[in-house]
Amino acid sequence: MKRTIWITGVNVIDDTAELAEASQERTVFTEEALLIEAASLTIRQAARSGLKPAALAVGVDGVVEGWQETFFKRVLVDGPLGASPLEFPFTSPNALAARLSIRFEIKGESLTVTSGSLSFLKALVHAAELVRGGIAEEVLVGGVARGKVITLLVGSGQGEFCLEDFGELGGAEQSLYSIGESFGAFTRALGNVRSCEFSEQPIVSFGDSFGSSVYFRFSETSL
Amino acid sequence: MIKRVVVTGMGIISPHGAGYSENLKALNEGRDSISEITLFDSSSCRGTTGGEVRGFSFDAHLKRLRASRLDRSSKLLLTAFEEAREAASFSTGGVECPVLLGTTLGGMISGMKYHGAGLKNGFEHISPAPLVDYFAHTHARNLMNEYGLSGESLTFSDACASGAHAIGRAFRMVRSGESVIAVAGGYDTMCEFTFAGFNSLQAVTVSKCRPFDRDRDGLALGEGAAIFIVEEMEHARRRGAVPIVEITGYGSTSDAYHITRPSPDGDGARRAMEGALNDAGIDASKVDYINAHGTGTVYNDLMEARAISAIFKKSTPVSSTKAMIGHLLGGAGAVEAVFTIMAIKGGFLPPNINLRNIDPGIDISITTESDCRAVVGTALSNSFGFGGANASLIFQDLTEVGI
Repeated sequence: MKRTIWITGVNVIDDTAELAEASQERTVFTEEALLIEAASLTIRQAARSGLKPAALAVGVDGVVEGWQETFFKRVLVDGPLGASPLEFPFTSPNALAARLSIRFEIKGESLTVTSGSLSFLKALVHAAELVRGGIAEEVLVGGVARGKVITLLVGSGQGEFCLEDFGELGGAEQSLYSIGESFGAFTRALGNVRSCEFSEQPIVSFGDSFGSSVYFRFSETSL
Repeated sequence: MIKRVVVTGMGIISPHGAGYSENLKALNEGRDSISEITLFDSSSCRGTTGGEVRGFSFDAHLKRLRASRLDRSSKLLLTAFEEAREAASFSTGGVECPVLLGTTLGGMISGMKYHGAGLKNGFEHISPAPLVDYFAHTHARNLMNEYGLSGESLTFSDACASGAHAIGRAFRMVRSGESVIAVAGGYDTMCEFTFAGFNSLQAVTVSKCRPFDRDRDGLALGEGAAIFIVEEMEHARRRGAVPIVEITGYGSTSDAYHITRPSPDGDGARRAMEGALNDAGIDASKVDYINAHGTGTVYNDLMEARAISAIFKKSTPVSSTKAMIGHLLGGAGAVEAVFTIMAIKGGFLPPNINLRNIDPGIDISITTESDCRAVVGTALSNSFGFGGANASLIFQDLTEVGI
């Protein structure tokens, strides 16, 4: 029997936000702090329904290249000895997932997807696969762009939206040119689900400039 | 319904050389392929050696891509894929087939060129072309474009566990029936920036990479790529492909401990190995060989040995092959998975070279001699990365699983 997959605790924040949780953390880069802040909100919201993430899927694009630039410049100017041991770990895209796993003690599977503008949406598909396959009950999903992040919880417990279907699709309704755009497009799609009454919710699909695409079909729950 | 998942083709390029045969020979004889770095000047670093793919000339006849534009990582990747495709008799044109790859660096050499030129000439005066190959996901798309593959492309960047995660995800996709065939693997290049980074962490060896040795002082970096054609068994049989081994287990966990250092008690590593055993539905006693992550760093090797001791009987043979070729980062999980399969198919235990005195705190059986013949029916490959990303894969000989 197919498992029902739910989404809850969707939070998008950018670098204008006041950081209540992350300000107490030692962070190296802005987006790291933003991600911790958004994840705190999501986890707190999920906890009200008794949900706790056991696994992680994070989609990253653009931001790590920016951090690498900082690191590169020092090496290019000062040679190998200019490399900073504090910044170097953040040249690996999974440093963000690592920070979340440490901060929130998430010890299950942790995966970082770096697939361009669809990175976050592909991380979401991967998380839904983990839930559908019974590998994890609840998965914290994150998306990180320069100056902006999104987090949400995907799981088998009751949530705000039901993820009826998802996967790959040839052709897409909306073309995304950056991962940051995908956060807005995704939350707008959820907003449309909430505001409209359909007998069957339409499929929402997103594609990138390489011809890769993903689709989702949501419905709202009574929560 | 759960499907059985087999490997029908493999391709490899490593510091041992290009191709399965060359790597098999070097692996069995315990060849040391670590030498002074020639790709860049490492003279001001703590260590100056690494595992380069020497004499690599990319002479493939490309149909759609321009070789002169490609980053070294795409070239390694395409070389490994061509061998895997041929071995699996996989006709690619117009085929829908997911491509799942793991990399830590993507096209960092292109990134380095871009930033170097930008600093020298001003970013407004330079071509942005190298930026395209700098992005990690470009290389999967390059492969798909060149071979006319359509379908999902997914790039994982989970540090040193990236390649193993890509293979693990492909295994799950095929096992669940989501796809009948998938391309999976990992790659990374030797890059000055990464070398400088590991040097800054004082993680690079100043002598020889000596996994599990009392006097180990760090890792040697390396480069390479390995690609697998992962396939549903019946699909392989129907199209006349010959299964090589069965993939039966994948375990993946997170340490939740430290950004660079592994959990000292080996908890995350132990859970990954247990997860893979549970996934395969086998007992630890069934495992005939463990290809360890074994970086040669103080922290990893002690942690990993503790984790192995907690699960396996002491006589289970273990070796790290990183002393021979170096740490291939995102490519490590995939290249070492090929080595693990070579142990099964070749009937030998790959040696853990450079081991002189085993660390007294380590209580596992390390295989050191070359050409060590053994029947290996079931083998496990470990990959543990920065940020506590852990992955274990289990491969079984076809006779072992009754095929």
